[in-house]
Amino acid sequence: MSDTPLLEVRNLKVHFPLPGTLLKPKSGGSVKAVDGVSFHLNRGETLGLVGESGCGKSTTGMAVLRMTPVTAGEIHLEGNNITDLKGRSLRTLRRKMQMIYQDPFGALDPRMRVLDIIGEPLKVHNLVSGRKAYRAEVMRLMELVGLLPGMAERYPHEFSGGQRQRIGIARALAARPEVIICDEPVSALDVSIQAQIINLLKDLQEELGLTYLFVAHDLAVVRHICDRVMVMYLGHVVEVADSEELYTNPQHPYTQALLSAIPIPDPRAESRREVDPSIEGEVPSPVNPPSGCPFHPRCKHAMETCRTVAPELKDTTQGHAVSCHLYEPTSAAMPQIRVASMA
Amino acid sequence: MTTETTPAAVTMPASPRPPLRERLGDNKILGFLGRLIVQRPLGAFGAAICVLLLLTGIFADVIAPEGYNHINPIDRLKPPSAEYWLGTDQLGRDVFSRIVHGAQLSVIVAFAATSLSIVISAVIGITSGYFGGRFDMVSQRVVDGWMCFPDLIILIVAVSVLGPGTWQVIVILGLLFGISGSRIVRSSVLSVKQNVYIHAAQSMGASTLRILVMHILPNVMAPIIVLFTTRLAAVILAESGLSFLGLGIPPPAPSWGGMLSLDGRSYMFQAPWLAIIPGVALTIAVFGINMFGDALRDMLDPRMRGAGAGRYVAAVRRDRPSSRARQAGGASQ
Amino acid sequence: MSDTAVSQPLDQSEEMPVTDPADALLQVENLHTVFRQGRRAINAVNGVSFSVGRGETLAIVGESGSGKSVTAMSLLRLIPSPPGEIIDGDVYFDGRNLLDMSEDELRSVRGNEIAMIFQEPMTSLNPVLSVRQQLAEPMRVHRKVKEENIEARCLDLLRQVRIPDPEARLDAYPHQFSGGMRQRVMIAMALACEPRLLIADEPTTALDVTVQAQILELLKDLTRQHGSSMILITHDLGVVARYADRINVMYAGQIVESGTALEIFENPRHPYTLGLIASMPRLDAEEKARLKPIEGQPPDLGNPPAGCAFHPRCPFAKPQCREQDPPLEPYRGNHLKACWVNVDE
Repeated sequence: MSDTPLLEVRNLKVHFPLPGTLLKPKSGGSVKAVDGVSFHLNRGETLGLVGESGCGKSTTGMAVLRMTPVTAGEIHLEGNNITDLKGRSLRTLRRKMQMIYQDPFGALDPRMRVLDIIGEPLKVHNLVSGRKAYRAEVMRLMELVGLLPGMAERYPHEFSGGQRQRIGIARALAARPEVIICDEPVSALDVSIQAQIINLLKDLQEELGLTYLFVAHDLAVVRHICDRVMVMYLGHVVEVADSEELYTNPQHPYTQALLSAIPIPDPRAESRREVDPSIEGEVPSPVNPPSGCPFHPRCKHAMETCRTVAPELKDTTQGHAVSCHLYEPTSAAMPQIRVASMA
Repeated sequence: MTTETTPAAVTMPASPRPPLRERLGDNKILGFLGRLIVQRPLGAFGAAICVLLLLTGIFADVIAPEGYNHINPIDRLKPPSAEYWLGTDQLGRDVFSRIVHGAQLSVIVAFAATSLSIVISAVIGITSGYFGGRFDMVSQRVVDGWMCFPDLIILIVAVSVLGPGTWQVIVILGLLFGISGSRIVRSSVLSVKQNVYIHAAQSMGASTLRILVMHILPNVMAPIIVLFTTRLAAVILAESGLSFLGLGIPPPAPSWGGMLSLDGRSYMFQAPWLAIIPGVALTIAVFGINMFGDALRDMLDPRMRGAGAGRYVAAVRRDRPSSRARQAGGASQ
Repeated sequence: MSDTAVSQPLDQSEEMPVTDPADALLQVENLHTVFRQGRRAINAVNGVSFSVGRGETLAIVGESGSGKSVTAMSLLRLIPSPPGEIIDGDVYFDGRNLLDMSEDELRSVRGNEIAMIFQEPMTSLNPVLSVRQQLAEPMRVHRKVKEENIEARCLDLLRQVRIPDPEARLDAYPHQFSGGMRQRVMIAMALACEPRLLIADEPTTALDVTVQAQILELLKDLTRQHGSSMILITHDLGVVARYADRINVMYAGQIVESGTALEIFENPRHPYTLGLIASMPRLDAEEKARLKPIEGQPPDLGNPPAGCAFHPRCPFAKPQCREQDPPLEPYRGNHLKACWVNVDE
């Protein structure tokens, strides 16, 4: 059992149907938000899910949480298939997966005191008995995330963004989850506060052995917290690698473009960097994704094959997988693939 | 005083709370009253009127010098005097006593009918708004259908079926206002439902009932309270209207509306006080309830308890960007 | 409490060395903007002085609540009033004081000589007007461009901001554009009258990184091409490093440090700037390197700390910092800092 990953996702697809016309209600097509995503997450590690808006990273997180309907594929938690759980067993499952949200202002019920917000998972899953134990547990959680116990009776609007995010983290920890899904947990915060929260998440992971699925658009933030990084584009995984490997040796042209687009706070280094020309153009609509490789309309290396054949995610080196025709084992294989697909 | 009760400390949680709040904080009711008087003087005035109305209703038998149907045949249509403070009507009944007893009747009808209507609105509005989909579709079409009929027609039909009487009026008005009010509750549920904290509660594994009661209901309380107070005033008016038309509470019960219509209208020129006095009583009651309701709505929102002015800066940033952009473009207003 | 801060404006404007005063296109002196709520007054901008040279890109960097956006809005008197009010200061644009102008005079400057670009590409355009109508508006208002020339001018603008197939897009409505394209339309609108100063308030915050790079490159090229100056307001130090000539760092309504990009990044003299740079997640960092956050929370501007506003969070704070607010003074040449401490010690 020990080598079974904590979370495993196989060929996940999430398609959202578009409203059709009155006469043909099913004719609207669908938004292919997530289109065949597979990955695993080991206990105690942090996997970064990176990409631009509309790449399906948040939807993947939601599907793992079972908060959005899964069109196809399987999700396994601790070796159990959780894709089709319903009703009570789904609610029990929810304790094991908690979420930290992007918006520190909207994620907390404005009518509840901090005490009740943090303690809600305890009540929902009957994790403590008695008022005293409840209060003590909430106080312990508040201390854990760096909030003063005296703040328990206050309401969310009395806190700054960073403090609210701490409240949200304490709430996620309350259920003692197996996996925490962090959906852009710091992107709404100021830089100086961002660093506080990133450090807090790292400390908590060390202390409590937490496992994070870290959804973010900011590759710089991801670098500071993730062990492995998965880059998504238009519902597909384009590259997965260990963090260090991905940043020093990005292989997919999209990853390279993404990295080159992020400014570095260093004017000398900046003056030496060039903006990658392949970032021209914009992400195509997921309703009508391009044929072949989804990135080919923006890719400077695009070849004939890229327009017709979708590349598969294949290991180039141990633990580094890329979905790109440039890295096919032999270029001679390409025409064969093309023939096969046309047949 | 004012600066103390709009606590500056709120935006900076590390600093201590202001003294006034601390002193009154021990007693929630006292603290609430203190803040009501300081922050919302008009609301406090409204609250005083409401309390007066309630007390008059409860102690009507003690306050009123005579029974509401006590007839003094000699003193018919007497103007206000020391003996009859507000004069007498065409049967020689003391108008003051009738107003006092009328307050009792109004209070009973208004609170019962409004409470009923709020329960109906909340149940229809919350379920329809939260569950959405087909359930929402069907229930809203039923509400649409109901609202196609003019209120007055429903009232007249219902009264002719059920007959006039106090409980009939309560049920009819409760149903009428309840169904139309469900729209307001539903629309605020729809916006509250979009909040991330609702998603958080769902993903935490909270049951639907818990989400409805712990998260949705408290966050739609503001419109429900507004609904309650406006409906309270409207029910008093509607009951008066029904009685005015002779469809409400039958005489000799001293409904303010009935007094206005039966006695007031017939003797408007000989004895104008018969019309003026119930009219003034109605106006004051409705005004007081509305003022109190507005204040209550604001005070019950934790965000309004001394909102930090920092919110203003945030508000500026959200301040209608497209019109701001036009302004920046030099467009004339 | 706040009234005292208002009535004792910091005299930062005195002896303020400007690159070359005669050459400055915009000169801001001792600007104070407050927001009032009841008896509380928030000193959103508290004695800010700076200048923008011709053809220069000046970045104003700060976190939320630092007053960077309010500063920009104050320049064109776009502060909603009430609750906002500019209570002191001068804004000289090409020698004319914008704060003394009548509303009519100011309107002929806004969108004409000074144009703004806002953060929200989704809401800053009017959804019921076509791109053609929105582009033509500033030209009609300010330049009295002849009707027959307007179309050609609109197309030219769309080409300048590199919108593909401009003929087809001219009659489209904002909802038919993506976020990046809308921001391009906004830029085209801002450029319609060839402004001499462009104020870009977080122009790329709502956009994806690859689109952000495109838009910033575009702004850089266009300002260079037209020789116009730009004030770039942002919270992102990375953006600043690539695109700004000079940088003003703001904290709690004041400029705490001002200098060229190289000076600010390689030799930061204010502890806040130091902290900000250290706390930024960087692509070129060690793997999983620990960030060094600035501890504590930003101050409540309605009740700011005495002395230097940063002292409660400052690792270098001395007793003097708790009592006296440091003025913005030259550290070396045009590199200015508002701090009592020498951070090298």
